[in-house]
Amino acid sequence: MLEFPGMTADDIKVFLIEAEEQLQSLEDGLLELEQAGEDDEVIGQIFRAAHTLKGSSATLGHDKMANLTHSMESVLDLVRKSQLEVGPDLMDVLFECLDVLRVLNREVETGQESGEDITVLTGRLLDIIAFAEEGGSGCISGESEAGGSGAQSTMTVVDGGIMHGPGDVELCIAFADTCQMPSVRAYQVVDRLSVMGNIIYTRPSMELIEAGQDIGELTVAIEWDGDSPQPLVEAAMDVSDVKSALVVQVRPAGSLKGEVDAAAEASRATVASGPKESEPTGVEAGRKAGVNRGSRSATSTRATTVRVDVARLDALSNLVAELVIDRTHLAQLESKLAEKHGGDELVAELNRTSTHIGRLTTELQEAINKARMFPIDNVFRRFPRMVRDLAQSQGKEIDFIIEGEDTELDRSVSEEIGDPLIHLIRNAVGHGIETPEERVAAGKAPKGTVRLSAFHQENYIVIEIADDGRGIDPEAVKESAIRKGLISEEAAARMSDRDAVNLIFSPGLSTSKKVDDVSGRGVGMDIVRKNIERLNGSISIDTRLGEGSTFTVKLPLTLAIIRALLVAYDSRIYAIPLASVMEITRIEPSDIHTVHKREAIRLRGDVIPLLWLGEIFSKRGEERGAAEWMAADGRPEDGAAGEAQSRRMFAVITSSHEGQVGLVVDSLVGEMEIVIKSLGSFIGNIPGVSGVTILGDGRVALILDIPSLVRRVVEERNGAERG
Amino acid sequence: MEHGFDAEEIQLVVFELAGESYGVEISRVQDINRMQEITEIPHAPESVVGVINLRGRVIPVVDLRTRFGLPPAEHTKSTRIVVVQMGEEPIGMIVDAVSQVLRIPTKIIEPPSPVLSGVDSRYLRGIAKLEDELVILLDLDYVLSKDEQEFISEAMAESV
Repeated sequence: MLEFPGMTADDIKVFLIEAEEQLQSLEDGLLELEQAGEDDEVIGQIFRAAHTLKGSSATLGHDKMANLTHSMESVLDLVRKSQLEVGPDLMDVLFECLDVLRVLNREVETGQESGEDITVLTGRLLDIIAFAEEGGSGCISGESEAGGSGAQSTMTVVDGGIMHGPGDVELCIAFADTCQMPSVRAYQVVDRLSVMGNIIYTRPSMELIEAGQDIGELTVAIEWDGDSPQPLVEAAMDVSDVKSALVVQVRPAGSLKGEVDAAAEASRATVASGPKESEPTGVEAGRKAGVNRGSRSATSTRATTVRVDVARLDALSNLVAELVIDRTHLAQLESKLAEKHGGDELVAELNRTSTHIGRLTTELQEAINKARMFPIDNVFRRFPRMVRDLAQSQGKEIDFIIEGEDTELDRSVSEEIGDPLIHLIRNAVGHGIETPEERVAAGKAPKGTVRLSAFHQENYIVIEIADDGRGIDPEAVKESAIRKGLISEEAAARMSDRDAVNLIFSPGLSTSKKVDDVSGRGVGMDIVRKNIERLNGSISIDTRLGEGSTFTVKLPLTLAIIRALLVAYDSRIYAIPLASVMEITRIEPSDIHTVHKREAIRLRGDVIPLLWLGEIFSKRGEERGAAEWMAADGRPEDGAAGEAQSRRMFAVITSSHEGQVGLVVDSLVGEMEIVIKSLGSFIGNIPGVSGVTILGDGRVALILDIPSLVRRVVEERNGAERG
Repeated sequence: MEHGFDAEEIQLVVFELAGESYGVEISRVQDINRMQEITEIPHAPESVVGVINLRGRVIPVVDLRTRFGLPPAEHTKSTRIVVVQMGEEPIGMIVDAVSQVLRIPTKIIEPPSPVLSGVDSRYLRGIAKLEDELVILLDLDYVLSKDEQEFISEAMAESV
């Protein structure tokens, strides 16, 4: 099984489409070159095709393909610079390369390793290069000369032979001084060794080798079954330009791997040590050992995936949602039948079947929901580059750590969450982390840390953006808010630090002393919060002056299904997204105070305005509000308490960034997962309603739009304060 | 042709409303349902009674009597919700009863005349004169258009 860590099915699909085009272009070019002889334009075309293939295969993580195209590119570059003539031998090699590339491309398509060996071909290409650079012609016959420098050192110091049974072997390989591309040779060595045993690690890492870094010495640790490490040494020496291969240490089986794993575990939480039960083989082993991204999102990378239109998944989700409703109905019918014809065998059989269908439906629903999920890595992967560029442009040193990138979430959420996260990360880099000088002055390490992590918590995905920077100064925020007229000085004086920090979510407030292009002009955090709340999520800040800030974003796993509290008012059912419910409290008329013409209750010192659902949702002429409930004259203090007292109601305390409002309801129905449906364009937007859902009994319930209801009360209060 | 029917013959679903027969093309009709519980949508346009759950889809329901300014009537056993397709969205219309499905030649369709029905002629595509009855052909796109919705609310506001 060939796997490409970190690549989604979509990425692979894109690669295949592009690779097919380039292979075709390569083939056309080679044919033309052979027929028409040297032509700059054609050579340019072939060169570009090889170059593009190299880039995309390296990105994909297809080492053989990247390596082969890299060598091809080098040869073609010489041809382009007229340092090499195109002869029939060169054409043969290039065509062979094309054939092998096709085989390698098929590997990506099928996900199956072909076992194709590219070392012979890359060796031939390298020999051509070596020859051309020594001033030779395009003739390729001097293979032994090219590797000549290696042949001189057959007096290799081999400390081998002292081995009894299988064990871990560490080899140190040195390359000839004349070696043109030691990284390619190093790759070849690892490639060859990986066939003989599992590679435990390489130094430098395979990542660096692939990146073409200049290599002085190569250290390879390998699991070896043989009695003597001599075959390993011979295999390494077989590669051109290898000056020496030295067995550095031989250890009992598993000990080197254990050490590596422990070191990796300790160094970084994100490092995956690879699946222990299925040991990787071949080239993958080299990757696993050298590249610190082991098993991440391994399941999403298989080439055996099928691309499915999101619309089809949506249609499936809808069908399953209908099935869920019918299942509930079926269970109801079944229990009614059981009541009527208790001991009937048929009823018992129906019961069994309906239970089974119920279970299958639940599983089906879970499976479909899973199919819609994909790792958040798709969102995260663009951030490291962004952080790097930002840090560089601002002269900051930042260690950017990503954790939990394989945490899965629904596609619909991941499409929406990118922009708010960009903003938060930009803020962390721009406002959070100080310059190295400032940090040193504050007694911190010059290098700041920004940590982006994701994890699941019940039905939510939690994303944290933490920095160890300067933190948010509540006094500075207050000052800024007063200056911008957002709050009065008295209000600021009364305000807690926590509330003050939360002011950064107010429209038009920026704490940055200077306006820059990093974090915008104070039109950020309020929009970030609005967008997150629109997704039924929430955002909170935890900050310590001088120590750093953590922004925590909590989002539902999917936008289509949310957990909701169902309440009844006037014998109608409403759904309140659970994310906005703070608590529920019983209220009696004597609890009610009137503040700014609106009823309110006191809850642990806070005054929370109440909103009767009837105020907004009753039909004209049928309004049922506070007055009707409390007393005929509307004054709770001297109202006819007797009858009203018997009618307790509930206040569901809901919150949005603008404040808290207690929604008064008759009774609580329960908590359940609901499927959000839109009211459609014919009805359009209804104030206070974000959508509808179908309940288990087939009835339709309105989903309350808490932010807009809170806003309504807040605006009313602001109006009352002004007037 | 003024009524806009291309075919020589059309098939109509005929329903009753305040004693008159109305027809809509069968191709536009998705479903005919018995009256069911309707969830009211507060602050929705005047003639939108609410929404129903039609096999897992939430569909808005319009009371055609309110729409046409006819007197309201109690719902009976024969009351039906006719679900028609409006663009991408299905919309339900409450009618007194669904009487029949008719195949009529388009040549018997005459231009609408305000004298013949109590309904504003703008809603009509024409009138089919059958031997024993008249079937009023509705212009669904106009009846259920959003602009018209607003127009109706304005007209209602003025008349109050």
